[in-house]
Amino acid sequence: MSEEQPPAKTGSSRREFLVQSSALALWGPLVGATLTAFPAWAKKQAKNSDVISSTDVSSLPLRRMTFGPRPQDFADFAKLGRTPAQQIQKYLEKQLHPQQIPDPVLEAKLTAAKLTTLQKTYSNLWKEHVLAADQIREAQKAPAVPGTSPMTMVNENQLRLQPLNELEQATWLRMVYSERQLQEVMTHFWHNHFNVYAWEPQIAPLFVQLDQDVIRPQVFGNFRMLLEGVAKSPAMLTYLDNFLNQSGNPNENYARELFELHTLGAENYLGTESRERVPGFGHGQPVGYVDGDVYEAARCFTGWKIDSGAKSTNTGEFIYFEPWHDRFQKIVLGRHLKEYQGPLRDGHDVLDILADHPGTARFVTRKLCRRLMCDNPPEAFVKKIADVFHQQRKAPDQLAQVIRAILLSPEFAHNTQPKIKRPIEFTAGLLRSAGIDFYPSDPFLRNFEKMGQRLFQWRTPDGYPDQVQKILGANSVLERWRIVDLILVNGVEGSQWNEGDFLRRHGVELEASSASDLLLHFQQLNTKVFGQSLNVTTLQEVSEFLASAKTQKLPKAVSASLALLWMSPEAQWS
Amino acid sequence: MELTGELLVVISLRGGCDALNLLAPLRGSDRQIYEQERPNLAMPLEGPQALLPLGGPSEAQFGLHPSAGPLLELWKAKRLALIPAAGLVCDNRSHFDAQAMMDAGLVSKRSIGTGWLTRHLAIAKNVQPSLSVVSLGSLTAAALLGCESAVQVTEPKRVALTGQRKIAAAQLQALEKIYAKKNDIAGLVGRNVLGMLQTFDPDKIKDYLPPQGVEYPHNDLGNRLKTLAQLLKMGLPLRVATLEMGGWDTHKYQGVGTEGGFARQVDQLSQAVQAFDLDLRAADGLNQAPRTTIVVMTEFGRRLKENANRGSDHGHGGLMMVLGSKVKGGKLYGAWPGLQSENLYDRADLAVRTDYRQVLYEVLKPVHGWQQAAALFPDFHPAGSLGFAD
Repeated sequence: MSEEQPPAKTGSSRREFLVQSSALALWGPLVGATLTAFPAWAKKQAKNSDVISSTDVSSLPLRRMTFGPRPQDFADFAKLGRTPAQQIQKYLEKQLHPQQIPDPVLEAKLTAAKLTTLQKTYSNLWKEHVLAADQIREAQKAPAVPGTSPMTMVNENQLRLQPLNELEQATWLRMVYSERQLQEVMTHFWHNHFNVYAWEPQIAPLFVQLDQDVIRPQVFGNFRMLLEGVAKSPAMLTYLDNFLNQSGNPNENYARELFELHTLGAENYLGTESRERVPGFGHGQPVGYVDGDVYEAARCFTGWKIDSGAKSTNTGEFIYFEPWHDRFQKIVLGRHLKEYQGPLRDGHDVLDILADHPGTARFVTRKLCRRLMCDNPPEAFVKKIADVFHQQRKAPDQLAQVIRAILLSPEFAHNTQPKIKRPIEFTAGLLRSAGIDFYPSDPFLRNFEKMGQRLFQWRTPDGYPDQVQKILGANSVLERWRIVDLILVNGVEGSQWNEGDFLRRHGVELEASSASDLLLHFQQLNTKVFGQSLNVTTLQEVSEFLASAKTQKLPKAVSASLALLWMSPEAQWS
Repeated sequence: MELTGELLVVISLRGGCDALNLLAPLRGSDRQIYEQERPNLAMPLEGPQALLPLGGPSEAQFGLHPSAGPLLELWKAKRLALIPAAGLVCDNRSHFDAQAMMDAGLVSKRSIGTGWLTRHLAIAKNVQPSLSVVSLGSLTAAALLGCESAVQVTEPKRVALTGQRKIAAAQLQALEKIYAKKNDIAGLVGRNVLGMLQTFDPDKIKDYLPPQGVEYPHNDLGNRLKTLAQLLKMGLPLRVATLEMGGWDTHKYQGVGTEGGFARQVDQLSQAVQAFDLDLRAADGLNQAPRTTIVVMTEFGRRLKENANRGSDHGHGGLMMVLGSKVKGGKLYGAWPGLQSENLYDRADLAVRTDYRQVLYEVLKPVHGWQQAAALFPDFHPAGSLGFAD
């Protein structure tokens, strides 16, 4: 294992330095140190770093509010105001009102894609993709009727999965083409926060409702409302088994993850301690939760189920089923819930208690800061934002206010820690920055299974990770290189790109034969396409590559050289 | 046997494997309680779906799940040791906390920046600097957190760029130069990738053909173990391999006997492990059994009492398995606490009587010796010896 030591370097760019320091914070310390430890030498080094790429640093807010800037975004963003603060504010205010942002390119793409199931009401999805599929299954069980061919039937699972497949495609189109980028970024965030593995045939047709009716419209709304929408969504009810939860011997799967992942977080979990011994319990404000709270909360959610099955009206909607509800008194986080409360009241009370708890504010806020700012946001900053979250907990635009508090803070303005792009962000960013005419074909999407990040396919309820040490392994880097070549050099179904058009669009030509002449043009691309985030040594090597490839008359030399830009270490960071 | 060349294969059963149905009591008061608390889930004693008694005088109390036939064979061949009531000595029933603590080799929620396997490799001798540590899957294993040289492999055939050979080769040369100068984490990882790409020749990678008589089952774990076999056959100097198997979080309808989801899981696990062990031992196969130890672990067992949905909720004590030529198998190790209410953890779950670190420590002891206990597992003091590896 390597010992912690300062890198031997002189005159490297600030970006390179920043990346180095974060890497050493990861790799350096062994036993006894934490990942967040910032070595003393690095602070000294930071003061000495004099080569600052101003464009690079100033575009950081734009990178965090989008799935990667498109070339024209850099200039458009700069025009928004004279100071960075003005620019962020202007951009952010626009993004916080997505309905007012025209989105013609996306709309055309969506129309062309003919994603018919996404227009259906939930009730029709249930009839046409759940009940109809059930019928097919029943029919297949029955003895074959002479003269009918089972092959003429629509495949049962295809029918169930179709809405999910279409949602996946729509989501890719939105990430790449929508002008409402922050809504898309936050939708992706909340899908991971309230993770549901949607590829189960039982869940796939229900999942569209969670996306379209619950998460997407509320990403700038109120956390408590969002939480309730998720709790009542048939997809979550199924995924965490609450649709089966009934009095007597409750199923605690949902209740546990509600505490641990959706609200208070594991950081506020005090294990099997008795509830009375948790500080603050006596005042109805325990500092954290214990297993006893999980069991009691599970009782509160008994009878929260889906209207389905032979003995029901079978609408597939969320219902409260009184006979399954445990009506006796409960104690959740130090609060007594009376026996025989009205319908849904116990569950609503639990959601209120959790959404009001300062621990929830801290946990959820830390994750938001981690997404929008850096992997390990300073605790003092998290506390400050958590206060906003807590104070605004009744506000209809609570989450918009929290996002504002993060992005308009001096801490955010001074943040220089880069974030590693996750596979989806990397690829969406590539498609956006290279200006590719794109449609998410199956061969394209299957690559994400190998990267471990196909949309809505994370198995466990914790969601895809958001910290570099959990994301960036050899396979992740390898698969990025592979997909860059697929898209830019070899072609993958659904993607159209021509390097000549790309270069012309940016007024760059790579006709020269000497590396030094080529370097000037790659530098231009670095400014226009990458916001100067690439290192000059990378550009030099790419120039050498192209010069030599031309001498050897290597096929596709130009597109292969452009691919190297996106394969560089710098291009993995946001 | 060459101590310095050990290969450790760690299989993590994610979701909390129901140890009480994988290794269930056959008689006595434990059996009574077991049947009473699991009216719909208790594994039968008779019939075609009956538990498979371990046999022998002292082990007469327990039987393996009826779908674990291959494990019983390994047990009878004295290659497999079972450590019941093993787990995390910590008050916690969260998957993610428990997994994180076990991967870090801890019993408390703190962050130390390295996994237990990383520390093992840091003090192990003669570890090759590259391609000696692999996770079979797409993401970094948490037990290898902080291990610079760890790589992940999904399919050996994908360890190549996608384009024409000539272009890819030229691109790789350029990437070597670009990445040589970068010391950020992307730079470090990229250099590992370049090392992999040099070793894996796409022309030479063919579908793996196991030796006669070895059949890997077509499931996630089977496929991953088969890939591991392929890597070993390619001559990679592997010292540590990690694999995960999900699907153990059986909150509903887990099934009983050989029916249902839990039985399927057990069947897949048993068949996959048996195939890999056979391959390891085959002279015309991997032929690496003497240096290999396989550990199977899970974050916790499940509640003694079944829930209303014929499933089981998160519990405490689990089951650990250690398999290999150096293992004194065919024996149960560690104490059994019993299922009487006063012996349960939190009056609900099988208690933990063997700290999971004790098991891992004894697996590593022949490599590192006693003195390294604290370096491997901070705050851990070995309590004597279970003895399966002595």
